[in-house]
Amino acid sequence: MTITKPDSDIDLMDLAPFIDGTENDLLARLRAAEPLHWNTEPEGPGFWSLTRYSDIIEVVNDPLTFINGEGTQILSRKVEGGTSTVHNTDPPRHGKLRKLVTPHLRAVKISEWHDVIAEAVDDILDSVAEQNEIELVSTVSALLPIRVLGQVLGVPLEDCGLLLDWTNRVVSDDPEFMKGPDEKERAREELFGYFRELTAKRRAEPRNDIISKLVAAEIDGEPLSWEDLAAYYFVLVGAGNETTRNLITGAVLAFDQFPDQWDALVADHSLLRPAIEELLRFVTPIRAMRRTAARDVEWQGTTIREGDKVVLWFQAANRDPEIFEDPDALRIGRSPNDHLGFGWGIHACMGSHLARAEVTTFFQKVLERGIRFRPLEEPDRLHTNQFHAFKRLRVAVETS
Amino acid sequence: MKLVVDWDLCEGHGQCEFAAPDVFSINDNGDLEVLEGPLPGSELASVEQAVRRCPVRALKLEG
Ligand code: HEM
Ligand code: SF4
Repeated sequence: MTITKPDSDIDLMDLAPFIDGTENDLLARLRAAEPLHWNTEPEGPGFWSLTRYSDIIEVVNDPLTFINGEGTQILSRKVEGGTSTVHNTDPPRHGKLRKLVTPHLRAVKISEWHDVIAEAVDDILDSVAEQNEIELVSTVSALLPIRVLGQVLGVPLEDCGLLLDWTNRVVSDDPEFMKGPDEKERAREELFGYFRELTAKRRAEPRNDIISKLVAAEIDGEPLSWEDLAAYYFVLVGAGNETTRNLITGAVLAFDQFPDQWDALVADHSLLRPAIEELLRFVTPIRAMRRTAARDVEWQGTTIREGDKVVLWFQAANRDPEIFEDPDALRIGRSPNDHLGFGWGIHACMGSHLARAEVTTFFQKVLERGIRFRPLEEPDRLHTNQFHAFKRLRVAVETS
Repeated sequence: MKLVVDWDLCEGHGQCEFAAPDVFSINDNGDLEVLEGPLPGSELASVEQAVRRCPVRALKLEG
């Protein structure tokens, strides 16, 4: 479709740098030399990549030109399945869908979940406190988000383990979780079957949870269809689970790389709030999200054609030296810190307050207990360029 | 300094509430409510952060 597309030796579909952890060098090269970069795809039309902070802000602030409705993943498929979620819906319906849930995820509402979060963190830390060495992802990072998110949605605590297993199989593309080609489909069916029953229960007896709110909600006088409800549950679980998990693991690695920053936090716990923002910037659990051009756009002397995919590298923007001084350093007191860890614009993260509350409570309690996690080896990273995701990390548990 | 909200833009994201909880709150309908009257000077820094945080640029400080 597009006539002139500059070629470059940088290939963001080559997963090697994302697996060995050298992707920031690659993204920095691109941001400096070729801020609009065309990337071919082995089995697909190819995509544009944007790596500058100001360019990405421009795109996310123009949601009628750069739309989500054609998909948000780099590869041209919708993990979400047939029905559109709030994430891959465009205005005007997007805002209506969003407003059904945002009131229940805002900061003051999240404080009502404080006890649930604190209890989850305590249980998790109790279980590892006596050990010298643990595998952090499976015993800590993966357990907290699903347990909290599950309960906020309305899943009883005892079923949160099931939820974790299903989401690993549905969301992940990693062959390790995939026992066979139909595994994803089967996990998705099990998950939806479970939610269908839960929906019926909450419809009959509403509680103070998101499922109860959604079954009672209406858009333009119409209740949501089962497909709309299922898509909503799925996007909340898909967006809120692995991201938070990877922020926790990524934070432990970041503090290992910058131990003086952990010492500073130990000395002054009140730095925790800016520290969490800095970790969101530094780790960037969602490295990139995709838009699609709804019309031809002239962009820095090149034409982005209608239908072209445009990938926004939040991770590159979060280290843009134009915006962040000494961007490759973790500085827990950094201020201002308008990172794109939660994205920006109309699709900015809906779960940001919940995620912040979880990760803040987690590190608050780690600090109070005098625990320090020390990575013992390089992490095992998930084979994906779009998410900054960790499969395994062995750490020593030190208590002072 | 005067805080101006563009009510056509505001989508109730509540990022402002996180930055300056004493000035902004979102009600149960998901709509933003703003502290009435002049802005206390002590709130200026957090309100500036709220202005930058608002993902749809619905907030402005004037004057
Ligand atoms: C540290 C944890 C998290 C990170 C780093 C994160 C990051 C993001 C980012 C970057 C986006 C923007 C996507 C885009 O522009 O295309 C986003 C959207 C979203 N997030 Fe999060 N997220 C986190 C936790 C959560 C949680 C806990 C929830 C659920 C309660 C959640 C629900 C959503 C939803 C529903 C969207 C789509 C919003 C829309 O399209 O309007 N996220 N998130
Ligand atoms: S952050 Fe912006 S959109 Fe969200 S409630 Fe505040 S003013 Fe409205």
